Amino acid sequence: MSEDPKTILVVDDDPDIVAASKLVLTTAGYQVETASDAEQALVILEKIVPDLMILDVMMSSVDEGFQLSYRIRGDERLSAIPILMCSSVSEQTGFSFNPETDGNWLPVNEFVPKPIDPPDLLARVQRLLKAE
Amino acid sequence: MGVEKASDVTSVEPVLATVSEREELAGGHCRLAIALKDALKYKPGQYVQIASADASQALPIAGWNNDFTRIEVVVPTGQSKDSALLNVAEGDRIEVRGPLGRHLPLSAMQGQEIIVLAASDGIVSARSLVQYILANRGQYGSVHIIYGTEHPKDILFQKELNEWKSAPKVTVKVIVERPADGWMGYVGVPTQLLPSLGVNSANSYAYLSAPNGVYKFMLLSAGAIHLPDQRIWLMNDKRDNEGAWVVMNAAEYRL
Repeated sequence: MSEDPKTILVVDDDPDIVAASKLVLTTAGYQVETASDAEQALVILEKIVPDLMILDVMMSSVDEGFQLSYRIRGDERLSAIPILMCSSVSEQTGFSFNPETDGNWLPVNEFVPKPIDPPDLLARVQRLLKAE
Repeated sequence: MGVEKASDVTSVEPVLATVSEREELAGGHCRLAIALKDALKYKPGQYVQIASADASQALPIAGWNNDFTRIEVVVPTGQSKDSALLNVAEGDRIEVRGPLGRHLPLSAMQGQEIIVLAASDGIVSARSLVQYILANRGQYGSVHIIYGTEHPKDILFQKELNEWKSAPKVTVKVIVERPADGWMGYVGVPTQLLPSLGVNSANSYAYLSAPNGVYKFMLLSAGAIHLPDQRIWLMNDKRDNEGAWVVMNAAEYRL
């Protein structure tokens, strides 16, 4: 009997990124839920606890992804969800981000600049799910 | 609206002074109250260079009062490389040079709501601004103070924070990253609490004071509540030629 597919929640306000990520991840056998902002994501997170989240930063507000990551880490039910943050915030602000050095200000497992190519996305997803 | 310039003040003649009080604070810090022989007219955001018999150190001015013959600084004493004044004691004679560096745009801030977003040691220079506003209460709008530390045991000026909470038109929110048993307050980082302030960004100024690496998060979150760069000031972690801190506008910081 095969294992249930892992569920990944993709949160991004760019519909093209969402569509492309969904295509890549579903083709690789993952179940994908999507949200275009933190509010929608929180509605989904009320119903399910995904195995992984792919999270943008700059959505309806410029720090929305950070704020959502703080809420997730502060919620006992959700706090263990691995988060892959994927954003162009560095390119747009000139600031660099690194979960290893930014500590609790960036409570995600990995931070990767956009655009991310499909093999890299899948490799990161697999690595984070394995480490779960 | 262009970038507002704070004035430069570079009085460099040293003033003779005596350490009138030394108080051990939380998190490996001590507060020194310094009695000056001659008045030293400073404003929030400025710093002083302090020289004892065997050490010299630049430190932000940590308080404000309108008797300019007394200043306060906070010296990191625990496991710090910046602890040149570690052994200064009450009664020691020292020299104080200053005030140095720029000060905050206090005139432009008049009539405005003031947001103070401080992390870790950043509360030290923020205390100067808060004390200044409290001493000139009628000239400023509401003050919203958000202060974050890693552990509850690192919180500086705990008693004073409680006093500020009961001051008119002042709110204080303290948040810690790693709560201890019994901690009933906020958990996380200070920027989490910014959206809850509900401030009118067109009528507000923010002062950010934090260690290296944190300003990028603070600037993004200040932008998220629609504060323009011209209304955001910070204690720059890029040191000036004196090896000390300089307040600057967010637009300058981004250059």
